[in-house]
This record gives sequence, structure tokens and C-alpha cells, in this order.
Amino acid sequence: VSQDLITPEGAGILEVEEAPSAPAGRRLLWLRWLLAVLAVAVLVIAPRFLSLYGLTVAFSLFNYATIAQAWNLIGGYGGQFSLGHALFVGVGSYSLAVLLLHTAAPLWLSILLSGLIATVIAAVAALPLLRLRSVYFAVGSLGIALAGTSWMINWTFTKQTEGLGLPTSKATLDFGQLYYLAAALVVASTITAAVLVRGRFGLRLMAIRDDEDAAAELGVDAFRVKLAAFTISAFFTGLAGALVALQKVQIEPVSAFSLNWTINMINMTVIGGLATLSGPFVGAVIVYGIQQLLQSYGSLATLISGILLIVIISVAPGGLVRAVRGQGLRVIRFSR
Amino acid sequence: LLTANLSHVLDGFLLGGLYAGVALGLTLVFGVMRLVNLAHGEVLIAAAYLAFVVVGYIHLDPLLSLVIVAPVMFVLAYPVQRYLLNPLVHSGLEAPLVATFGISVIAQTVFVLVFGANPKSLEAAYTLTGINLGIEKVRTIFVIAAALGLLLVAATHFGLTRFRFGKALRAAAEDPVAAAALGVDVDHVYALTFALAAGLSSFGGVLIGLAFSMDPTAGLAWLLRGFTVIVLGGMGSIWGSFLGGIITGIAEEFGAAYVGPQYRDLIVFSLLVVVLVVRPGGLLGRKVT
Repeated sequence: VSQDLITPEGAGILEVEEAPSAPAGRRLLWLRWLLAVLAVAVLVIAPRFLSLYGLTVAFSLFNYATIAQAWNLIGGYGGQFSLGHALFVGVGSYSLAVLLLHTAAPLWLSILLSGLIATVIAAVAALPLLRLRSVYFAVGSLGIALAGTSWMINWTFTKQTEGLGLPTSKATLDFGQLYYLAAALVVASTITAAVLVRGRFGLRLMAIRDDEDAAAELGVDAFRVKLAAFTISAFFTGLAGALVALQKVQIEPVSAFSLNWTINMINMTVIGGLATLSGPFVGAVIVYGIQQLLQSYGSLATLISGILLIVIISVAPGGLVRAVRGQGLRVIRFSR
Repeated sequence: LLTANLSHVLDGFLLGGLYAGVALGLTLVFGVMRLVNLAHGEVLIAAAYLAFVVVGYIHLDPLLSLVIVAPVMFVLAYPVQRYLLNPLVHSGLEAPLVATFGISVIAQTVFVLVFGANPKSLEAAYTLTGINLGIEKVRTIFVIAAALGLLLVAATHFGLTRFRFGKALRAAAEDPVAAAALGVDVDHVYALTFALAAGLSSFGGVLIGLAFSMDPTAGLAWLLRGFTVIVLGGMGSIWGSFLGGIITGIAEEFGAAYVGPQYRDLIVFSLLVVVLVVRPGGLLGRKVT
């Protein structure tokens, strides 16, 4: 395994960290696989025991976990603090609506294409954005997202603020089907993230996060690695956006492109634990849990999540997952 | 056509003066601490709401209400930097980014809870009247805003270069470690800078409330405008932000005239991205003043 990790491009430093823990790590890995299989089994049979309300709660929770996991790939592992990810949710929602309304493509293909359209838009946006570092990237990505919202509010093709309705003939799914789609997506995004960050790609990505100049000197093509992480992240975010549209049936630009999506992704990931695979899940349960509990108090839930975000970043910047593991004070290093 | 273009330049110049005032706090905080305050827009909007409350209670003119609003903002901002952001500033770049993002989210929510989601605006006689400036008639408030923006920039520049505190501030910006060794209380200076920025932003916020309106989520668009201005002006340069304001204002007016007024936001945000990529160092220097 460790042979794989040492690449000619020079990720050799990481050998020191990986090698000593290999035997213990392998045993844990076996246990993890068992747990993962169990989790998937639970996901598959759960709908039999869930009420309609339970199904919709699970759907939203899975979708939140998906977008948090997707953001985590570029924002946590990649250290690129994207404030623009709401754009990809909106693009996913609108792409699905437009494809269903204007083409003969079947539903499954339309969903897949929605994710791909978000990917393409991310790739185009990445050309200027990924040349920027740190806070410039953050503000630039916010600029692109708000420009996108501004465009959608004025675009007559998608009926401006009135929005679009999905054709009921093609897009009527029951709660059970929506549940399985969201469950499949959260599993797929997590497996993708796990495979990516544990391989060479992840090492390069994290090397860029820790020190982009040093990584570049060791031969890592920073732009390409970041581009891959950014577009894969956008792909899953776009798919989640398509599922949101399927559930809502009626979409309009202000909520489809709402910055709240980005706020939730960041809250969930930071609270749970940046650059951990379980962090987005823990964060999703907490943030969505607070939202459900305080549903009748308007935006109070956002207030509490925001306060939690600040407390976490000040007290345990590694997030709850690391705090529980006793690594709470470990500060994650970011790109400069 | 020439007159039309001249009037766009004039409109843009006036708008740009307002933008310079709006961006000043962001410039100051970035110039001194290398910190981008993602809650800068909310600082502006908070000041506008605060003026709204003050005007509601004691029927002052909104601009006169700044006598109360600016000190209150100063006092509110000081502990935020001192006790929340200072410990994070020392630990890297992204932790303060997350924290100021959190402040922005919290502030937006508080605005919704206290003032509701609908836009509000500040009212005064001069928001409705116009002045004839030869080429065209413009709203009086824009002339006031541009004049005040210029005045603020000049006063800030003067303060930073002439006063003792300004010198301590520039010393802390230049080299925090050396400044601390020479007896400058850097944590205190940082907190004062942040508080001063909030106080100065009160002017920008009240001008926004007078010339436009404020709603709970309006801050983000103003953050981006402010950021466009300071990137154009060269991140942290006080006079640069005046120049950046004028350029942004003129670009926006021409865009609104030739592309369509509903695309103002789109034009400014696209300008931001283009400038970030083409000229991240700005048009002027990089240092404070």
C-alpha cells in the first residue's frame, strides 16, 4: 500500500505518517467495511419502517450530507473556501427542469445530465477562480454565485422570478423513490470522496492545501488537481440540486440559488469536521436537527448554527469528529 | 450621445464616491491585519438599521444620527476583534474567514428576526430632491454621498499619517512582531482598527440606507462591491479605494446604460472576477496610505 503512496512527484513525505499505522489501520479498515455494508443494508430496508414524514426527513438529511460531503472535498480536503457552491445546487435544479420540459430525455438521464451541466459550469468558472488563492478565491466564488443568481432572476427563458414547474407526466416520484435516490447519492458521493482522498489524488490535494508552492515545486500540477476536486464536487452538488427540484416540483431562482445552501454546507462541514469523511454526516445531523427542532421559530435555527460555527472554529477548529477522537486542538493548516 | 456618456461618467463618479466610503472599513481592516472581513456588508447594514431605530425614536436627521450610530458601532465591534478574531488571526488565514462568515450569517439572521425580511430605507428631504449639475439633474443624496465619501477617505488618510494612533496602526500593519517589541499593544491596536472600521462603515451604511435601501441579505452584495473597489484600488490602499470606487461606479453606470439596469449586480460581480484574475495587485500600491 505504502508503495503506491510514494509517487515520483514526491508525496514521499507522507510515508512517515502512513507507515507506522499500517497494521492497525488495516484491521480498522476491515471493521470499517463491515460497518459500511451494515449502514447500506440499514439504508435499504429503512423505508419499510419509516412514515411519510420520516421519509421526507431522511431525504433532506441525505441531501444535506451529500452537499456537505461535496463541499468538503474542495473546501475541506482542498482548502479552497468556496462561497459559490449554491450556484451548482441551482444549476442542477434548473437543468433538470429545463431538460424535462424541453427534451425527450428520460428522467434518469435528465438527472445525470443535470449533474454534468453543473460540472461543465464549474469547469468554466474554475478557469478564472482556481488561479486565485485563499480569500480571493472565496470572494471570487461568491461573486460568480451572486452573478448567477442575478442572471437567473432576469433570464426570460427560465421565466425569471416566476420559475419553472416540472412536468408531472415525467417527474412524479413517490416519497419512497425520492428516498432511494437521495440515499444512493449520499452513498455514491461518500464512496467517491473516500476513494479520492485516500489515494494519490487526495495526497496531492491535501499537499496543495497545506502549501501550494511547495506542492508545485514537487511537481504537483496544482491547477489540474484543484480543477478535478472542484468539478467532482460540483457534479454531486448538481445532482443533489436535481433531487431538490424533483422533491419541490416547482422551482424559482431565489431559493434554488439561495446562499443558504452554501451557508448550510459550510456550517455542516466545519461543525462536523473539515477534511474528515464522517464530519459532513455529523454536521448534517446537527444542523438539520436544529432546523427541524426550531422549525416554528423562523430563522432562529440559522442563528444557532451560526453561533455553533463560531464556537467550533474558536474552540475546536478540527470539528466535533476530531474533538471526540481527542484531536480537538489540532489546527488544520490551510493554503496561503 | 456625448452628453449621455458624460452624464454616465458623472453618475458613475458620484456613485463611486459612495462606494469609496462603503469600502473604507474593508480597506482599513485588510490593510492593517490582512484580514478580509466577510461580515463587512452586515456591518454596513447594521449601521443603517441602527440609524433607522435612532431616527424612529428621536426623529433626528439620518445623517445626524451618526453621532450616536458610529460610536455604538465602534463599541460593538471592539470586543469582536479583541476576543473572537484576534486569537484566530494568529493561527492562519482560514479560521478568521470562517469566523467572519459565521458573524455574517448570525447578523443576517438577527436582522430578519428584529426587522423582518422586507426592505426598509432611511428618509430625509434630500433623498427626494435633485440638484442640477449642468450636464444633468442628479439626486441630492448622491452628491452628499460622494462628498462624504471623499471626505472620509481624506480624513482617514490624514488620521493615519498624522496621529500617534495612526502611526502605531501602521507600525502594527508593517511588522506586528517588531511593533510589539517597541511597546505597541498589537492586540489592542487590531481591535481599535476593527472598531474604527465599523465606525467609519456607519457612514457608508447610513448613506446606503438613504440612497438605496437595506434588507437582511443586502450585505453580501455590498461586501462584493466593497471588495471590487479595494481590489481595483490595490488591497489596503486608502487612496486606492477612492480610485477603485470611481472606476467601479463608472463601469456600473455604463453597464447599466448599455446592457440594462437590471444587470447592475451582474456587471459589478463580473468586473470583480475579471479584476481578480487580471490585476490582483490592484492599480495602485499595496500598503496602507
